[in-house]
Amino acid sequence: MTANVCAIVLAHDQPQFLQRVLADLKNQSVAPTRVLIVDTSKQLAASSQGYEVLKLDSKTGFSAAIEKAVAHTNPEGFLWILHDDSAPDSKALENLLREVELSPSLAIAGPKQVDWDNPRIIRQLGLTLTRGGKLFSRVRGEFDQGQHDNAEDVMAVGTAGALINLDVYRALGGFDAKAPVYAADVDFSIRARLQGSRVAVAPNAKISHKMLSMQGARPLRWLGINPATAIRQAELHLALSYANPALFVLGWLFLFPVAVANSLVLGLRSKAHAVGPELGAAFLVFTNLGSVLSSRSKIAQTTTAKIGTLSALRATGQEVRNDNKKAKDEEVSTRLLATHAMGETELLQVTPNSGFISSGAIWWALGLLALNLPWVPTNVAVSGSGVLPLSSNWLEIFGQAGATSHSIGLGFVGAADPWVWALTLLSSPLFFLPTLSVTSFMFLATPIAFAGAFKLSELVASNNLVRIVSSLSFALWPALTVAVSQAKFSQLLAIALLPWLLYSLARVARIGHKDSTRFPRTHVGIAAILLAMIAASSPVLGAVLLVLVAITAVVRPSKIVPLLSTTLLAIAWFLPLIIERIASGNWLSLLLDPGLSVPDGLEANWKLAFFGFGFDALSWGLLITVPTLIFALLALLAPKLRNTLPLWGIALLALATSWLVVGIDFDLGNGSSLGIDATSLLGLFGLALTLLVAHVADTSFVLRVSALASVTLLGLLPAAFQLVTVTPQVTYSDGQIVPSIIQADVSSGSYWRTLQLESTSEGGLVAQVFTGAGVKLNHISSGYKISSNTNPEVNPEYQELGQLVANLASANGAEIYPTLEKFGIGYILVKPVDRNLQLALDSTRELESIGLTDYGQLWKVENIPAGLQATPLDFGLLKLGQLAVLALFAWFAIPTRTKKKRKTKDSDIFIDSEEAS
Amino acid sequence: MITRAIAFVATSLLLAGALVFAPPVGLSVDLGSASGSFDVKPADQSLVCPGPLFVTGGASGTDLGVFERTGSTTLRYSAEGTGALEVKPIAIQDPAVTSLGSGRIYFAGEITNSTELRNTGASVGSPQGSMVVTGSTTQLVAIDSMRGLAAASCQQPSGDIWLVGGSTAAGREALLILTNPTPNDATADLTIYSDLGEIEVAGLSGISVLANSTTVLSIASFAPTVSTLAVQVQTSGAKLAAWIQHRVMNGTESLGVDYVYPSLAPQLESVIPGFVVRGTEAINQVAVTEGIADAGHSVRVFAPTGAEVTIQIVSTSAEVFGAVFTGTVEPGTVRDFPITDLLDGNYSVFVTSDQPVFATAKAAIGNDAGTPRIDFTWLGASEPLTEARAIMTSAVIPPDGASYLVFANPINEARSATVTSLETGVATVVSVPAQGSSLLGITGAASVSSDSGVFASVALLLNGQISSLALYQPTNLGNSVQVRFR
Repeated sequence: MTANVCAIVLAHDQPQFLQRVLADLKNQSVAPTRVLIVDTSKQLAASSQGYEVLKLDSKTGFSAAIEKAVAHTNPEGFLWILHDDSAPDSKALENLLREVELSPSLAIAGPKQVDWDNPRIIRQLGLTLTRGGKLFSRVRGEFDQGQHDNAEDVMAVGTAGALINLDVYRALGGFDAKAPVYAADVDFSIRARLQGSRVAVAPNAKISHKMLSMQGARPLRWLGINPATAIRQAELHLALSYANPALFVLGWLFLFPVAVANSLVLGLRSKAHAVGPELGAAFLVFTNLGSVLSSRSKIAQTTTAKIGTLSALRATGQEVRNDNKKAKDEEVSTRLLATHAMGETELLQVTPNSGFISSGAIWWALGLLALNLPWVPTNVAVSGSGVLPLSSNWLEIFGQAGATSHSIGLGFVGAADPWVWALTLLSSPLFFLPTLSVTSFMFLATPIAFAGAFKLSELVASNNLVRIVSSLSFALWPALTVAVSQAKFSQLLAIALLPWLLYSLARVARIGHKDSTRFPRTHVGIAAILLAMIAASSPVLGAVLLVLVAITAVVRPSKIVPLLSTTLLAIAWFLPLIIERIASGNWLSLLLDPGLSVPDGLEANWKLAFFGFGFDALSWGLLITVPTLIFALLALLAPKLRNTLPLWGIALLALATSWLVVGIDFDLGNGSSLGIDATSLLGLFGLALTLLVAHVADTSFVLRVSALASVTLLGLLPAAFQLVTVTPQVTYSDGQIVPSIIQADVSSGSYWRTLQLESTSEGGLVAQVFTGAGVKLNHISSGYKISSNTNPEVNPEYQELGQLVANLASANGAEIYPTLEKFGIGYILVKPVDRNLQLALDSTRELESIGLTDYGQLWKVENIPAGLQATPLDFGLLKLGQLAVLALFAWFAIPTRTKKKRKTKDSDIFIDSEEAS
Repeated sequence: MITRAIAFVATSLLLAGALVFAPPVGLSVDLGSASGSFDVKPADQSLVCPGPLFVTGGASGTDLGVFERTGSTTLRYSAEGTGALEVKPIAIQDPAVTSLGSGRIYFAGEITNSTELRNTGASVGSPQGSMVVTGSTTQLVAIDSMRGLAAASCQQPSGDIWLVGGSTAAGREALLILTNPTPNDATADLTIYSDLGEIEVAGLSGISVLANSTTVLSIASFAPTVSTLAVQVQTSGAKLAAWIQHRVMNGTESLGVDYVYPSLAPQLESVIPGFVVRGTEAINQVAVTEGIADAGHSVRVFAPTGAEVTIQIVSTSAEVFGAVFTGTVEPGTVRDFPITDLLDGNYSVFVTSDQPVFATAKAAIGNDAGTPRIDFTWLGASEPLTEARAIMTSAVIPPDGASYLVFANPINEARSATVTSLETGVATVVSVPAQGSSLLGITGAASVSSDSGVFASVALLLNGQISSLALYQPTNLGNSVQVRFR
């Protein structure tokens, strides 16, 4: 049949695909009358291969490009639109023309779109809308066995390879320039139908379509937004454009509320990844009211029938359900193949929607965050019984890590706590405001612990609800909630990071899989850093974890190298401290907790497993231990003893160690003593138990119901109730811990020492010396706490200082100026306020009373020259070594490119063996 | 299945057994102590003695805010120690200095201003307390607007002072006397409590007491017509000495004057010795017949947190029964318990309560033939005697007057005390019966000690008028101060 066909090829920065398109165009059995390449490329101009090229600006939209092409060529007959990634089969045009010849009322004929690389797979055969207005492709990803070759009328066809009657095109005024990209072709087809023409597919005409824009592989500029949002925007635009006036007004007004409601529904249906596109599209359509109105007017001008007449062509509910099921199956098979590619031979049970977002776990994490709202941070720095603000200069924190000289007191030389390294790492993302990282972590501790436990539970259970409940019970375990309510920052840092560490270690040891000889770089890096941070925050827990790593290395000797290498960073951080403490014979003090020590009130009796169970108002949160313990014991009767027995081993080891540790007491003399906090160990105990509960709940329906119900009712609800009603005793400030006048001095570069005094009930005094802006969390050193550095009998400087303090307190008029000048003490602070001490200091003539500040009563010592703080960045060899080890493991932890999966909907049946290694 | 069951049973037994039977591990690691004990020379011991009584109203008797001293008061002091004793009248710069170290010195003389006794240059480690320096003032005033005997022990300045006594009812005057013996200015903040609770009124804070001066305030300008008073004075800048001068008039007849001196910290058991009663007939005549209710004896209790109190008045004579009664004091209020039906005798007052309270007692004396017909004295709770305390009292002896050292013993065992005359060296042992009271007449300087915690104070009678002296033990933080470093 001779018909006038003008082929338009749209080229946009894809010259490699364009080559094939143009080559196939030359091979057509029926050649088009004219070919025009419309080049809107920005960077890579198309090579024309002899065809005429119309160069347009790169920002020209699809509709405008077609319109300009039509205006340029002014053709008659038919328009054949090709994209630069749609290559027609040799008989494509011939078959399309045959269809239009058979039916003159056929305005648009679409080809069968097959896969670019594999023409036996159908990518698209017509488009339609569901009853809910969603874009729907009936045939997608199926093998072409001729099962759809009888298909004819459809609601719409995609423009790739479509043959369009130019009279109809002109009658409809072309494509709608105001419609979103994915709506333009569907809108055109619908208008064609409503105007009376037919739209059908010609299954014999095949076109290989790469579908670059659907995959998001086109540069984002062309589309403007990600594909999911674009599709949703198109759906909403179409719905509003074709709605009757009343529905249109209501629909536009309620776009956003409906989108929010939809988002909630999506979340509940485990499709949380679709929430972003939903809201974004609603926003875009709402603000582009002009486009919707112009589309509506175009529809009104060019059509007479209403869209209701096309309802027979819509996708039925059954079709939609079938499609959803197919998508799920595809996901499962893709993941199975991927794991197979990594060399694992065991059959894994992979459930769809088991990611953090798609399983809905994210909503529970946000719920935990909501429980913390009563104490939401109102300022950047948090202070409590176990936490202080950090220095405001990140370099100062970094300088302190691994340093040997400290400015605490009158100066102290000794190994720094590894804890300062942990603080340095923790505050490095917010290096401009380090103390905010401490505040944020404390506020986010329970959701972080929940997320880690959820990830970890993937190794023992597959049912999402089981995983969520067991992770919630870890997040609400008394160890963590008590650490939060008493603001014990070092403990809660250790507990919240614990599940993440165990997950990484499990991946390093390939727990549950046959051994493969690959060195799991990423997980080794992550595990090393986490283990070092946890060990720095709670040395006792670090010691137990080291033992566990060693045992695991013995049990799985093929993984001995990666496992032991995860301990290297922790050892590097602790090495100077270990050497120093063993040299002084004080090795047990290595187990002291860093930072501010808060007594944990735990004793070694039967209550320890229940975290010191008591019958008072605060014990609601402890109830959770009871059902968890019972079901964890029952887990031993469940299958897979080789999973449950090691978990019980971990639990018992943690419990036994906390039993031992609770009884250790460091006597500092004069009635003051330090203990070791067992909270983090009991956190490990709790984690093991919750994993056991997850395991047993996964085995049978009855167990699942009983375990989840009892844990939720007896444990989670009371614990959540307590978390909301008993808020932690913390105060928020801007990080200042000294009176403003001293802070102002520090800002202007003058550093005096401050002598802080406190009178005790026994009539004695407690004295503390600090330089500059006070003792922040990173300044506290456990070595300083336990050393005899401040013992006046040993250190003559403290002898002199003690005499000064005694003279000040007794107001006996003794000469105090020389000592004050020698130590550079410019301020004296009395906190808490004490009348006798105040009267004594008021009567001392060398002191000038500044008055009562927020931080106590303050006196200035007259005529003391200011010191300038020399902050030498102490870069000893040891610190460089620690830094190098840290850098090594940080480099390990960066995920490598080869691990990124391509986001295609194909299943890669034939995988390159190079890719798999 | 069998292995799982075994594992289950074994783990459960292990867990249960360990939790119940495992012994707690106790390990104590001894680290060096970061504290030390430092010898310091304590601040100079300083006592402030009140000067002559104040008369208000100026020449016309009606000028507000005019306070003038009247007459002179007799200062008696005794000192023994190291260094020197400075005797400095407040507001005049030059002190009179006497060096110590060559035996005990005694002084008695008239002063017209409040005076500071200061032991300067004492060597480190030398003892402190009333044995080093002690003093008292006595003034027998007899002018139209004021008659009575007012005596007070010289007190150590303090930063937080409670005065429970006085009244601003019609015809009663309470003057707050604040003396600053230091070279630094001080500011005082007052809190006044009455039978209805704390009195909120402007002007109570920031009262200036300049260096080396005395400030006098009329409490009636803050709390008029309050018959039951308690006042707290808190200072900053310097420590002060404080008294309340309480004067009673009935029309134009003067019914006594006395000083209220600082109370001890609130206690559950307060012991108030020195309750000496004479002239009961005259007291009853005035208090009962003429209806001047507060002319008689009473016990005043101030309960910051409220209390149930039991008041017991015990005589030195076993045959004489004193009085017992109970009552409730509302939180934050002051309550007076009038005491009637007491015969002439020597008593001590025991106040026990379920919450800490401040307790003072007012003892009246009747003087049938003389003027004033009634005089009174305010007695405060005393501390148990352990080390020797010195007291310097008047040398008057019967029949003109007497100084009585009254002992009280609140416990169930008899106790004893030793009284040594510092001038003659003669020691007398006084036994105090269980839950009872004893009396010994003294003159001049005496020291009192007890190895078992007896309570004592001095009642002073002169010409049918009465006053009292407390046994203080002034110490300053010193000698050995414990300092711990953090």
